[in-house]
Amino acid sequence: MIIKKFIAITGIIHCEAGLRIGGTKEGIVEPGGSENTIIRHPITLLPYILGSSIKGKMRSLLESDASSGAQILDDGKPCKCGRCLVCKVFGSHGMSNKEITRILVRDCSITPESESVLRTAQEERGINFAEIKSENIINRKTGTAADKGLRTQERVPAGTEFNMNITIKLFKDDDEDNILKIVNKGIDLLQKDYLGSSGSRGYGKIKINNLEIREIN
Amino acid sequence: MKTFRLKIRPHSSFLTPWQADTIFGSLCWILAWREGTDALTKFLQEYKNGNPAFVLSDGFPCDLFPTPLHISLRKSKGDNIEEYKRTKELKKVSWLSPEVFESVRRGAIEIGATDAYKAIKTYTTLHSSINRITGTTGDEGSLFELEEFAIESRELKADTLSIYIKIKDGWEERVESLFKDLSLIGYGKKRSVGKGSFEIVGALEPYNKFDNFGEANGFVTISNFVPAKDDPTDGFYKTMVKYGKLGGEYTFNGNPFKKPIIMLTVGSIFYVKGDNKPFYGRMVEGVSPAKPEVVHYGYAFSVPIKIDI
Ligand SMILES: [Zn+2]
Repeated sequence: MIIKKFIAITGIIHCEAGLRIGGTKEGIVEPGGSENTIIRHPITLLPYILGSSIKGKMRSLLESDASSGAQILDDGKPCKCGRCLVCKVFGSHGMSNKEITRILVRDCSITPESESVLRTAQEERGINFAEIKSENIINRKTGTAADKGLRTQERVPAGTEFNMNITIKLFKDDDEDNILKIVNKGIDLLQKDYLGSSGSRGYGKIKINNLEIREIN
Repeated sequence: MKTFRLKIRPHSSFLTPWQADTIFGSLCWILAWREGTDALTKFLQEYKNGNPAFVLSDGFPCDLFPTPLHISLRKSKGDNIEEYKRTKELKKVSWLSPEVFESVRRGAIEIGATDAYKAIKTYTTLHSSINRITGTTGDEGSLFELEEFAIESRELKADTLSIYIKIKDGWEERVESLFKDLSLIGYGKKRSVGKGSFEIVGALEPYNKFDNFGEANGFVTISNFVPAKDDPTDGFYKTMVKYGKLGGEYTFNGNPFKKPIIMLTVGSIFYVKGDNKPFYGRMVEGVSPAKPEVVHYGYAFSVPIKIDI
């Protein structure tokens, strides 16, 4: 296989709702803080969006889309056919019919503007680059908040922006149009769905602004 | 061969340590993807012949260097508790500033515990995959842990890695373009989700601080390596077992693993009679039962040193 070219897709991810991407096992728990922390860069402690969260979500949305030709397996695991466009672009799981992954989704760093807004909020209100959201678990029988039902979760506040950075590598015999089409579709579906957790409760709605697709040479 | 330094800035944590043999393997795949497998075969033949186009060091945080082993292996004087503590402290340490590395290279064997840095942070992250039917994560068995590495940029006040490269005349541009492509593809495990993502800072810069000097009587390796038949054997070394993997399309041939390879680690030192060579070691053949043409990079990036013990 011979590489034909690289294509860069960049954009700004704008969080229209609070975004929650779970933190590390060793996540820093501040005294009195939330036990469910978001992921933070280990050194700068700034929140970011994992490349794997975006890639995984895009892939699962595309697989559920009837036109992709991907197979939804009974165990709910990713398609491993190795022939459909999803496998071709996103790489295939399982042992046979493997494809080289064409897409590279980098971790999305917070934009300098959002970092400065959240830094100010930290100084003024003491929030640690995230809001803490409390939720009650309602007891289905009594309709009241269950005992110990209160839980707290960290979210990146709505309005926060991150830099999205995707690279596609295309080999000589690749169908460039279709590959770009499916990646675009994935980006589109992502904006109709949600990122991170608790999407059914309104978390993780995003919009991608300044979307730009260009060849790298 | 001339020595150059290439600085890179990681954009994320990485899962695969920046070791010369792994970097070399990644560059080989790029060469094959750019120029075809015949070009790669030709390229590797020269390595097998002992005539490499370039020799790589590991990637080192910022300007730091690995501690030569005779420093970290020095025995304590037994009854002296302070000395014992210091030695113990030094054993944990792996990075020296350029100044201290240079003085060790010139024969110094006494270094203070504060001369050494902790430069790489290791931590564990938890990941999960999305169930295609329920659309949620967190199924039993879908969670997995990854060990990740990041540069201790706060303590070092820097966030780059330096890779040293000895390059045969005329190969400079090709080396640069291979690394440029690597920066587009990403390095190591999980690169499709941005791990090992990096940018190149500046360009290849000539580097002359590893020059030979009259009193040098040995070398310290700044890459893991596999000794060649005629390489020196008298020195201080540690071994590691490298569990290599095939890359690119070869990942999918049914058995992506190489046979385990014993390598001498970064920081190993050897006495040399006569002149220091720019590199030691060799390519290891016959490492993949499935793909007999596969070789493993085992050259040592040697730096002249005066071993004064
Ligand atoms: Zn498939």
